[in-house]
Amino acid sequence: MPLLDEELAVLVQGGNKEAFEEIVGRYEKQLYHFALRLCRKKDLAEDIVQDSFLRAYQNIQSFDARKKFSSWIFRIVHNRAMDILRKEKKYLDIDIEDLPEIEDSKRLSEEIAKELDGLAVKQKMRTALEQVPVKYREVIILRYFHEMEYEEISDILKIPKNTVGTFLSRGKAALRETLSGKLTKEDI
Amino acid sequence: MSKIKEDVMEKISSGQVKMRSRNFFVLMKALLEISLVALVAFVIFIFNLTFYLPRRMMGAGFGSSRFTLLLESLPWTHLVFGLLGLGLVIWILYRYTGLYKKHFILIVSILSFGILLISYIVSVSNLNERLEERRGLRGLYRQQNWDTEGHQRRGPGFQLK
Repeated sequence: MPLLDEELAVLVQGGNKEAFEEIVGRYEKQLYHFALRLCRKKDLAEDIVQDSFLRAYQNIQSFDARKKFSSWIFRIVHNRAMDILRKEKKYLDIDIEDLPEIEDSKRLSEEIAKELDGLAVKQKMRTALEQVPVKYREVIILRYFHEMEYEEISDILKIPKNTVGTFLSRGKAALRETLSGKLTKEDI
Repeated sequence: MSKIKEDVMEKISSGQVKMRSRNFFVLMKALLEISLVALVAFVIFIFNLTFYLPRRMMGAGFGSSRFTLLLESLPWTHLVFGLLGLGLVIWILYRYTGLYKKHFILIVSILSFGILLISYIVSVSNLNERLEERRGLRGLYRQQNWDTEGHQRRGPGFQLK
């Protein structure tokens, strides 16, 4: 049976580098997609993820193994991405083609899929998501693309759980609004 | 092996990136806690002064209405520093503890009320009378009551015309 992430982290704390390699393997893709959806540039997303793994290794002794490792490492990527987004507003000029297909990611949850049911608008939705303000977009990404619970999103973004719900509703509303403006009769 | 994984493991294996020791984080945590306690004590002391100084001035006031006297004697600088300190305390607690899980308004209200209550209790104790006599702190009380030419002001705050 494979070790839990938290158990691997404890091994890394004890100096086991192979355990960290295993962690990198487990999280690399999802952290990359998370970073990419936030910063919208492949190179930048790679840098963010690489830098985040290095920071995670440097600071692994501060990780409390009673808590979720995924929240901890996503938090590091969030911090790094936000630092860059604050400094580099220019990255908001997006390169849509860099984004992976939504269908390739961990799927929209049934909830949002239902809300948008019947709309063949993957491309438009992808574009629309980019127009949602980053604080709402991030919650949508974590909830629907990484299928996280409110509790975990709250831990990553350091906001109360009810704020997660509020951001999600606002994000979905913004998404719907953007989508409704983009849909044509052919789409429906 | 992917590029990211390869780069990360290469930097770790070559020793370019090193793990910080557990003691480093223990020390940082201790420093943070000490700073937080010191900051809370500072905020309580400052708010204590904003209660204490006007009360002392108002006791000696004649002629003006109590409200005018209160405005004149309110130590505005102390008040601003106290509020800034309180904001910093709340920010540190949110940033470095699990307090973000709680309702923001509720936490801010409880913290503010608690600190103000303790400050008020301190202000009605005889602590200020004792501190006022101490050489290092005397200025903090006196500068509010005297202008640069040595004339006694009516209150520690600004004068209403």
